[in-house]
Amino acid sequence: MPAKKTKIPKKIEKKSAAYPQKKLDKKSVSVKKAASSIVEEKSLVKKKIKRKVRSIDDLLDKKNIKKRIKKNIAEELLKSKKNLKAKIYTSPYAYIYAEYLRGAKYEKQLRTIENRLTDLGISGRVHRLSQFKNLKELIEEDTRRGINTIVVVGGDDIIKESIRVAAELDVTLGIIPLGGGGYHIAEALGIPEGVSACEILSQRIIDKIDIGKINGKPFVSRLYISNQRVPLFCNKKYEVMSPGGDVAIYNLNLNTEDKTIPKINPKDGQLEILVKPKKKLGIFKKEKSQESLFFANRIDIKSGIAFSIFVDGIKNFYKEVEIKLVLQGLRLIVGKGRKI
Amino acid sequence: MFKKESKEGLEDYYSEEDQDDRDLQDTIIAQGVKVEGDFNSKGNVVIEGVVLGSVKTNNNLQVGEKAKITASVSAHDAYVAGIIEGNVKIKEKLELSPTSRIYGDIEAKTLVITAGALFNGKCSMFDPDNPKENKTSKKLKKEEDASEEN
Repeated sequence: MPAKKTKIPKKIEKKSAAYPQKKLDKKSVSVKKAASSIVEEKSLVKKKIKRKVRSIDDLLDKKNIKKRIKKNIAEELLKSKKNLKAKIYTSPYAYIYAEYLRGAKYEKQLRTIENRLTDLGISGRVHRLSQFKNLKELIEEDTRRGINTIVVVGGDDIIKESIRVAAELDVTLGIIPLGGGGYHIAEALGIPEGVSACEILSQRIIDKIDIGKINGKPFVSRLYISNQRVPLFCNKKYEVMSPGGDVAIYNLNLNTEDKTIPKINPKDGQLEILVKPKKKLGIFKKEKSQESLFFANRIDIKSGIAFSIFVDGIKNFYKEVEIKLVLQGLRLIVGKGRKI
Repeated sequence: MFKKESKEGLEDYYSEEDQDDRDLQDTIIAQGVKVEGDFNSKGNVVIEGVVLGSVKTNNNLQVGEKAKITASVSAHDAYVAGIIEGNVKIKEKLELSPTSRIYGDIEAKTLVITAGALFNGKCSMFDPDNPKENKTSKKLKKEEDASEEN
């Protein structure tokens, strides 16, 4: 930096060289002074600029810091908002109405149910199923928001579906039977139809039952193989060969009125295998042959030819099947008059 | 806290009750059904079909007239009316009906053989007066058998 101070601009030097020194003494002094002053000014400007630059950097830094702080605050606010969103549902209950409960027919009943639930202090968010709303997605969303009890309002069909979903998502399931066809599940669980089911929900007696799984997919009540000769490999220890009649594998008996079915316990950690004899056609041969009954918690079925199994009433085709039991895989709110 | 305790209590109560129910239910192998492998059960077992493999139960065993077991059998009590091709080990009482056929050794505390029953094999029974002798006699028998084979 001091070298720069001594340097005189070239133009000034040329001017000074062009005129003799003696004659232009005064002038040269003044020029030198001017030049030095210019240099000083320039250095001052540079210093000022530097200072300004520094100050700008500082400012920018400060701004950055401010931005960061703002960002942090915004993130925190977002988080808190999200948390607030999750905590919107203060009640741990959510209610899902079946699709067929839309319309004026059940409006009155639904209102009375809702009023009763608020009286009992167990009201919650209500979902109404439609063509575009998937039951699984609804339940998943609710569980994300901290709801742990899903109450399904409807008949057997929606209850079966919700049991399958609840078994996968680890949710406590309640039932209010209303509207749709049969109430076999509700009857088995000791839950009355309509408003009176609210009392049972408020009592909250939770029963854990086993859930069967066929190739990883849960089933509630039974598997049915009709008129097919298929070997059942039970508990990896023994093989049962049926005579060609029907084979039913039970977890929960929903047809409690049928007395030909033995007592099925969905809490014993075993699947009940009922092997029926082959039906014989003929008028005179009326020998009553006995049904076989086994207990197993794991069944494997393999066959070279595809065979059909009714899983909870829905027909599926398989070549290889692995049936397992998940102990206490489902939590249900049940009534005192339950038959399981 | 109180609620939780009460629920747990209820669960325990039901589980015990269920276990009792489970024990009461019989395993049935009906006529026309074929079972292969080691068949173990905690409850009563009724066999009317065909079993190829061992049968074990902690409770009663009933072998029907048309039943056929081709392996060893062990149970607490047993009533046999069918065919058993193998050793039979019963803790308490073994009853053989007139239609029964046993091709194997029997070990039981009490044995009832009704007229008409067919039994080909050795029989060893528990002696309450000399329980030690039973064990020693068995050992001796085994040694004798081994010497005979040699």
